[in-house]
Formats: sequence, structure tokens, C-alpha cells
Amino acid sequence: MLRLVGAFLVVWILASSAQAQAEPTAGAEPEKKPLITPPKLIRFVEADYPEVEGEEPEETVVELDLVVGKDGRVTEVNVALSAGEAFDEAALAAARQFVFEPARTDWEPIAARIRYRYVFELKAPPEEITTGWLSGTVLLAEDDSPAGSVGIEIANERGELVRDLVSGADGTFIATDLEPGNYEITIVGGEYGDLEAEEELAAGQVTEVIYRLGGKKRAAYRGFGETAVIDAPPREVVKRTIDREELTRIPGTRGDALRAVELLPGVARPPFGIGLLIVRGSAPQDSESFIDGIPVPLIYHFGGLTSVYNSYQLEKIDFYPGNFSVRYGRRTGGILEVTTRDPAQDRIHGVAEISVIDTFITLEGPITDKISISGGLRRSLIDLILPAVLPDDIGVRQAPVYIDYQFKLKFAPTKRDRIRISAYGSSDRLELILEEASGDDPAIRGNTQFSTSFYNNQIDWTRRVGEKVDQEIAFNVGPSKITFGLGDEFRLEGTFLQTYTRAEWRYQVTERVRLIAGLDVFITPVDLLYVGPQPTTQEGGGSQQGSLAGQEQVFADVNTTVYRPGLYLESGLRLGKFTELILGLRVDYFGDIDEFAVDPRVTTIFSVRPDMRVKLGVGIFSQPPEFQESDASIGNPNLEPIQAVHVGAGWEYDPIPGFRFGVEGFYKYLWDRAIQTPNGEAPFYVTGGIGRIYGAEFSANFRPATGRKYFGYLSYTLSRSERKDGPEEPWRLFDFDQTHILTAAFVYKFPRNWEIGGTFRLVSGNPNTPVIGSVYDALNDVYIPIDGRVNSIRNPLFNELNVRVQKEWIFKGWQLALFLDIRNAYNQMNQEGIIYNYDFSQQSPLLGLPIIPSLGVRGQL
Amino acid sequence: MRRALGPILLCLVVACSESFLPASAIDDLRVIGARIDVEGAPGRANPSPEDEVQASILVIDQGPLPALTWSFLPCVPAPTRIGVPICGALIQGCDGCTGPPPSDPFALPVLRFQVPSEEELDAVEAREVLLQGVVCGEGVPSADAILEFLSGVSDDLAPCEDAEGEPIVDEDERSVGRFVTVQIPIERDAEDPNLNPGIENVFLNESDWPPPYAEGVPREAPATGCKAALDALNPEDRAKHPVAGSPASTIDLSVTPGSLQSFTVDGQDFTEEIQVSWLADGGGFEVSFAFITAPADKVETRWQPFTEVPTDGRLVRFNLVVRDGRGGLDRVERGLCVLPAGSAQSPP
Repeated sequence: MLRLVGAFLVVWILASSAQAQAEPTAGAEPEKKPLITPPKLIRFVEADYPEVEGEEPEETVVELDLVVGKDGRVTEVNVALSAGEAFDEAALAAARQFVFEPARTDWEPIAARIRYRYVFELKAPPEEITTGWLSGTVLLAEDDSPAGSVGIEIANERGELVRDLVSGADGTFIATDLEPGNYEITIVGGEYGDLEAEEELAAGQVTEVIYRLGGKKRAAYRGFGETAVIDAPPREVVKRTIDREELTRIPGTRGDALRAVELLPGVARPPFGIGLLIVRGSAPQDSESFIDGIPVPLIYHFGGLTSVYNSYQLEKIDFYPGNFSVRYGRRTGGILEVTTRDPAQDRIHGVAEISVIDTFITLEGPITDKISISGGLRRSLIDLILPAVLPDDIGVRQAPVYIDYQFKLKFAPTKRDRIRISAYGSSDRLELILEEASGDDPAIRGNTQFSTSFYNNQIDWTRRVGEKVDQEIAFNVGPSKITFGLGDEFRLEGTFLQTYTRAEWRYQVTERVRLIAGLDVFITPVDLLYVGPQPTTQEGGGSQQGSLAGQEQVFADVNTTVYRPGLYLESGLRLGKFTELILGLRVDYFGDIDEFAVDPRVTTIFSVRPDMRVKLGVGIFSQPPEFQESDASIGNPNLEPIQAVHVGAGWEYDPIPGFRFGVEGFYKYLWDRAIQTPNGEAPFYVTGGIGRIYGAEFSANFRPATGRKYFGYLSYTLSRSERKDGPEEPWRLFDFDQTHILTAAFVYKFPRNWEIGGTFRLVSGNPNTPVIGSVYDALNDVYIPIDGRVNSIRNPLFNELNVRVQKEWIFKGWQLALFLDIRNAYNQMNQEGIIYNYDFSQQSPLLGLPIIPSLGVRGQL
Repeated sequence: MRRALGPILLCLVVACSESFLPASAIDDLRVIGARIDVEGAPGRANPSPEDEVQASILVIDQGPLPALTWSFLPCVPAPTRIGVPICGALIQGCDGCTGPPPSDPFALPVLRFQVPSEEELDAVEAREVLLQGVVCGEGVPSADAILEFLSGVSDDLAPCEDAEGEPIVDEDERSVGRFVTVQIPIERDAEDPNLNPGIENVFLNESDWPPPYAEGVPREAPATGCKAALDALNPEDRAKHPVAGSPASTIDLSVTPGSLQSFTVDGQDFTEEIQVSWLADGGGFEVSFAFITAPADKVETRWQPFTEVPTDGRLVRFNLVVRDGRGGLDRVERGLCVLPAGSAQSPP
């Protein structure tokens, strides 16, 4: 009877106001020209052709102004061009039920205003109706409020899917022209769980149904819980996103958002998965992790099983594999910035989980309308299991135990101010008592101890000053401690009191110009005691085999204060229609070596098309030598800062909503690296090493935005990282050079709240230094290995499949999940290194971790 | 160190190490130590500048020890803190550094040389002298390999070569022979010199070690056929020799009084700790190393005999070496004949 045609007329975006409203801290970014993807209608609702007096016109047009929210729902609709009250009302009623793929700026959904042309067409009366209709509403069981956009699958008696719909914002849906008969209806409620029903449809009839989904509040809680987003700000060349909902669902990570970082392009696989961050061929110590803008000594617990901050309390994770902003300094590798989530302001929320690895609990909620708090505590359970499986001759005084805690208080005294006080910390401890000398090394006996801890206490204040200036000030103080002992031959005890201050001002000069100025000051008193052999270079140190016995011991008792202030200035300039230019300059002073570093950086972003961008970046990056390299007692305080130039180019293309393809090329050149003196004699280290790293990263992400039941991504990195340890030395491979890194992840959600996913990695083995002989040390009765060329051999190709299976149950007011996360699901015996017999005449592969299943249960309030 | 830490701890956790033969199992030619004696000062282990020293290189093998060849060079070490010690200035006038002498093809390496003067040592801040070289059970030491070894070059490491100058390797393509470095600390306190420790007693199952190998094993004694050597023993002594598959035996080693010397370094007083190396060419020790820490003067370990041996018995050579960690050393050799299970000669 009626045929309705819709078409877009004009699109204009409320990006600036909508985004500013949704992300009050977005002022941290310089002004830029956003890449806008308009909303796309994915659920159209037919309007009833109204009763009109006189002859019914063949075509009537009503123009509507729609505001499409970030979730794709129509939040506001007004008539822009009327066709009469009757048509206007019908068009408004229909349009309110539309569902869109939301508009996006860059990768993020935003609210948008569009003009929509609603066309009423008079159709000839239909012939005899031979089909049936199913019209319904999906509500939440608790309060009968609309469930919003949920998926509706309609299968016929043969099990064939004949319709796949999405309900409107009001929970309504309609399926027309269905053959008479019985149908199985599945409501894919996402966070509310699935619901199944059977309906019988008759020809010429509309069957009206109401479905109610269980589990109130769960969807709302999801908004507080699995919240991390890995996303680099647009001022960097490379931008990556893993959707917040995905992070705790990636197989092999045990639901740990920060573990998912290891799967990103350009991030190498650490041996044994021990939690080192190896970014684009840079050594782990060349990259730094921040929590809320403050550097943290470590981001993973012992063995890399779990990160030190609970994933359920994270807001987002920004990952910068290179060419990062001048906001960050003192590092030449990559930056990982973790932003924690403010406590919930609406009511009390909580999560509790227990698995064979660890257990944790989080709680959060409001105190007043301006104050809210959150807290969390986690403890490992390994120490309850390990004593039962370790050999008897190893006395376990303290099995591996890790604990972390988080506390946060948010206070918003005015609309322009936000004050946050937080305290978080981590402690790892392992202690073994070896009754006898272990194996073939007489030096390995007695007390073997390893412990690390840090306790950060932080306050930050953000304030909107006037209309054009944002101010952010943060201060942190916290002790950290490391103890590492191997019998009497090696002992390291260090206590550090880190204080860190950051102040940043962001000034919107004009519509096209933004300035950012800031300073950060790192001051850390150090009290360190070291007894052991002369420390060797951490990277490129060869096989690192051999006994500690007989090695000349050095003794260092260091009491000093590391002082490293930094200043930075950055401007964002919009040039013309397609180009954005970001210029930055950073000046650092490294008190430990009494040296300055000046680092200019520039990034250009070209918006070639609305769905395609090209980014170019180049910059200088400086880093002080490691503490043991520059300390006067065991190192050389006259070293220069290590420097690097990063050159990067990226291309991003979004062919369809929810799909992104990216290619990034990078080149890094390092100079003034600290290298060891030939025989390890004073001054122990000199400046003179260089390095080069180059490669390309290819990535494809797929995540349908609405009614999703699956997500996945595929990435491949091809790279080479080399070092030269002196003018006369040959180029050699970097310790963790991995030529090929292929990662594929896919997660699918089945009916009845079953979810199954897998992550597969295929990675080049790490380089190794072979031991080609040995010399018998008659004084100590041990063999001294003789290394071959550094990193001249390589472990075989690494491959591993991780699988995660999860089942959820929805109850009134809370939900329960049972999950099984299996690491190395097919128990691949990957080689991680080489082990040798006592005289290094025989060798055997050092195998990686076997299959590790982790069964757990989680409850969410 | 950080790189090594993870795998070390993880290996402890998951027990991922391969099961090689332990260091205590002698299955080929091995150097097990170097005994240093100072001429004219009995008992001293560390020479003073200009002292004449005698270095006895202790070599054993699985079964009879073959005729040996060797080549050593004494030197003042070059400064280095990492890796293998490197020779600086060579010390001239070494007696016995290349052997064996034509007069005794079965001689063991015993080398004599004079420690340089205090001025020469101080000039390079040397606190020790080095004795570096090669011991071969087949062929002769490779001059090229020795030179490269002494100069720190490590690309060609076959220590022994045949008459044609080709490297000698075993059936597993491993080079035969041993590179050896002996660091001989210089005694700076002549008033309280470091002395070689002494092994006082070695007991088997808490009783005296039984004959006929209570004082050692003849160098040429074959690995099999020892059963006949027990015929002359009284039943009590014969019963002390184990039977294949029998429970582990205990071996106790005690050191002489004064072996654990006290000494002072930088004003701090220390007492030596004796490191014991257990070595046997058959069966298995439960550990390769043990330690005697004051006030104790002995240590015990367990040794498990074979489960199967030839019908005429299997001779096991035990070498027990004690070190004081400062250059002092002592060593004893013992033997046991492991008899087949059910042997008429076996104890009830």
C-alpha cells in the first residue's frame, strides 16, 4: 500500500559540542581536523500512511532534523519541513524508532545531527495477503523499561534464519512478509542475556508479542566494568583501538586488559610471556608505562601472568609504539599510558573473581553527589599450589605471591574542577631455600629471593580556566623496593622514593591553533646495595650462561638522588582543509649524567578522504643511561644520553563501518648507546653504540558496532632490529628481534550466553648466542662458557593458540560467569632458549610454558 | 641479569630443565682441579711473589686414565672482569709445561715455575697468576687453539689435534680434550698464609673404606673384572662392596683440623667454607657439590650403585676433591667393586 523511501539530505555534525560533552578531558588533545563518518541507517521503521482528506497524494515529503546518539539511537527529532500535521506526526513516530550505525570521528562514535527526508509514497492496494507479520517489544524484566537495541533472530521450522533484526530504542520491532507457520525467535540481548521463544504466524495477521529480558542493571554495569580502550591520541602517527568490551574477552589474557597490549602490532612476544614490553625492536627498558600520567616501575606481576592494576577499574589504555608526543620523554622506545576510571557516581558496583591463578574483588560507589570512591584488592593463589609440585629438596619459604590494591577518591567541587586522590600498589615475592648446591652450579644454593614492590600515592587536579585554557596538575610520591638474591654470590637491594610532578596547560588560541605547555619533574632518592659480579649490559650480553662462582665480586653502596626535570611545548595547527601539523619540542635535563637533551618532533596528518588518512611523523627521542651504567661505583657517570630518531608513516582506511585496515612503516636509528668496555674494566661503559630498526605493520580490525556477536582482528609485523656495539664491531641482531609477528584473534558469542574465542600467534623465535666451548676453572670447579657470535642463532618459529570459553548466567540484579582460559591450548613445545650441561658440551632446547588452563568464576553486581 | 631472571625462576617453577648427566658423573676425560704447592713452604696453597710453585693438574677419566699430553703457559693476567681470564705477560721458565716428557709417557702434568716479583705484579695490579693450557687424552694440544685461547679469540676451539693437525672429535662431534685455566692467588699475608685443606677420613656406610681400594685405585685398573680382586678379602670387607641394585650407600668425608681457616679481608674476619666435589665414574651421587661450614668438619652424601653390572663386577672410581675457595685444594681417590645381584661373592 505504501512504499516509503528515505534519503539523507544534509549532514552536519555536532562533533565538537557532543564530544566535548562526552569527554570533558578531551582538551588534552591539540585541535585537529576530525575524520567524520556520518551515521548510517540500519533499522528503518515504516510510518503509517495517515488519513487525509480528499485525494491521497502519490508522494509526500517530510524533512526531519534527527539527533543520533553515540549508541545509534535517535535522541531528538524535529520537523524541519512540514507536510501537514498528519504526515508530520507519522514521520516523527517512525523516525523515533530508527537505529543508526553511529557517526564516528576517527574511530570513536559520536552524537550527530542530520537532516532526514522522509518520503511517503502511495502504493496500490495489495493483493490477497498470504503472509504474516510479527510485531513485538523487548522489555527489561525488572521494570518493563524498553530494552533498547537488541538483536532478534527469526528462524523457520527448518532452522533456517529468515530474519535478523535489531529492535529500536523503544524496544519495538516488526518483521513483515513471513510465511505462515511456526518460528523460533531468539532475542540476542547482549549484556542482558539471550531469550528464546516460539511463535505461530498466520496469513494476513499481525502477531503481537512482548519479550522480557532478565538481569536488570547488568548492562549498566558493563559500562563501568570492562572499560579499557587501547587508543593512541591522534597526534601520534599510529593509532590503534581495541574496543573496551573486547579487552577482557581476549583469549590467553585471563581477562587482563594490559596483557592484550602484547597482541598489538609492533609488540614483540617476550620469552615465557614474562611481561616485558618490547616495542618495535626496542629493549624493554627503552619503553615506559604510566598510570594516570605517572611512571610506574612495573606494569606486570611476577612472570607476566597479570598486570598490577585491575582491568575492571581502567578507563582506557593509550599505546604509543613510536613517534609519541613531547608529553613523554626520557624514553626511546614506546609508551603505555593507563588511565584509570573514576568511581561510579550512580550506585554501588562490584566485581569478585576467583581462578586457579588469583582472586580479586572491587567495589565502588558514591559517598555524596560530589564524592565517589572505589577500591580493589587482588592476591595470587599460586602459593597454595606450588609447594605441592616443587621438588622436595627445594625448600619453599615463600612461594610466588603477588598482591595489588587500588583506591581512588574523586571529588568534583565545581563543574570546572575535578580532584582525584588515589593510592595503588603492588608487591611480588618469591623465596626458595636450596638445601644443597643446585645441579651443577655450586654457587646456586642457600636463599634465593626475589621481591619487588611499589606503593604510589597520587593527587591530581584538573581545572577549566576560563573558556580557552585547561590546567592539569598531578603529584605523586611512592616508595618502591627491589630485592634479588642468589645465595651469597649475588645480592641486590634497592629502595627508591619516586616523586613525580606534572603540570600541563592547554590553550585554544584560535579555532585552528592550540598550544600545550607542560613540565614534569622526576626526583628519586636511591638507596642501593649491590654485591655480585660486575654488571654486564642488559641487552646484547651474550649467552649469559655460566656460574657466579669465582667471578670477581664488586660491591656498590649507592646513596644518591636522581633528578630529571623536563619541559615541553606542543602546538597543533590546522592547515587548510585536509592537513593538520603538530609541532613539539621537549627539553630534558638528566642530573645523573649532567646532560641536557633537546628533542624536536613533528607529525602531519592528511585526511585524504573521509574514510582514509595518511600520517607522517619524525622526531628525536632521548633517554638517560640505565642506573647501573651511569653510577660512578659500577658504571660511568660521563655517559651521554641515548638518542634516537623515529620516522614513521601510517595509512588508515575504514572501508565500511566497524572495519579498519592500517599499514604503518617505521624506521628508528639509535646512537650514543652505552656499550661495555671490552674486558669489563673501568669505566665499565662508554658511549658509542648505535642501532637501527625498521619494519612495517599491517592490521585489520573487524567489529560490527551494533548487535555484535563477534569481533576479531588480524595483524602482521615485519621488522628487523640490529645493534652495533662499537665502531669496529659488526652489526648484530637485537636480543628480541622477531622478524615475523602474526596475530589473529576471534571471539564469537553464541546463544544462551556462551562465548568462545581464540588467539593464535605465529612469531619468529628470539635470537640466541650459542656457547661454542668452555674452559675449566680449576680454582672454582666450574666451566666458563665461551660465547659464539652474539645472537647469531635463532629459536625456531613460535606458535601458540589460546582459547577462552565463557558461560554467563543472568540473575536479578547480578550475574555470574564461569570461564576457562587455556593458554597454549595444544601444548606446543616452543623453544625459548638453550640449556647446557655442566661443561657446555651438550645442549638441549629450553622449552616454554606448557598448556596452562585457568578455570575461574566471576560475579558482578 | 634481568633477562636471565625470568627463565631461571620459571624453570624452578615448571621444572623445564633437560636431564643431562650431572657434573659428578665422569664419562670422559676430566680435569678436576689443580693442587698448588709452594716450594719450601709445605702446606701453603698460595705463593708469594718470587716463590717457586708446583702445580699438579688433576686429571681423571672413566676407567683407566690414558696417556696424557698437555701444554700450559703461566702468565700474569690481563685486566678483565668478564669471561675467561686472559693472559697478559707470559712467565718464562716453566718446567713441565709441555708434556709428557719422553722418559715417562704416562706422566701426569706437574708444572713448576717462579712467580714474578712484587713490582712486576703491582705494575699491572695483578692479584694472581694464571696457568692456562690444554690437556689431551688423544692426540696433542693444538698450538693454534692454545694461542687463540690465550689471546681471547674463541672461533676455533678444538684443543687437541691428530698427527695431521686435524681437530679430534668424538662420536658426537664434540671436541676431545680440555681447556684449563688455573688462577693462583698471590699470598699477600705471609704471616698468615692460606694453607691447603686436608681430607682426614672418608667413610663408607659409617665404617672404614674397604680394601683393596681404600687408598686409591691403580691407574691402569680396568673398569670391569674387579670381582676377582675381592677374592682375597675377608667376608666382612668383601661385604662392604655393594651389589647392583642395592640401596644407596652413604659416604662421609671429614677434613683435618685447621682446614677451615680464619682470615681477614679489609678488616673483616671470615672463616673458610670447604666446597666438596663428589665425582664417580659409575652409579650416581645425589648431589655434585656439598659444603662444610664451621663448626662442622664433615659432610655426608649418598651414592647409588648401578642396577646392572657385568658378572665379573664393575670397578667404580671415586674422586673426592675439597677446596677452600682461596686456592687451597686436596683430593683423595677411592674405589668400590659393584658386584652383580645374586653373586656368590655378595653379602647375604
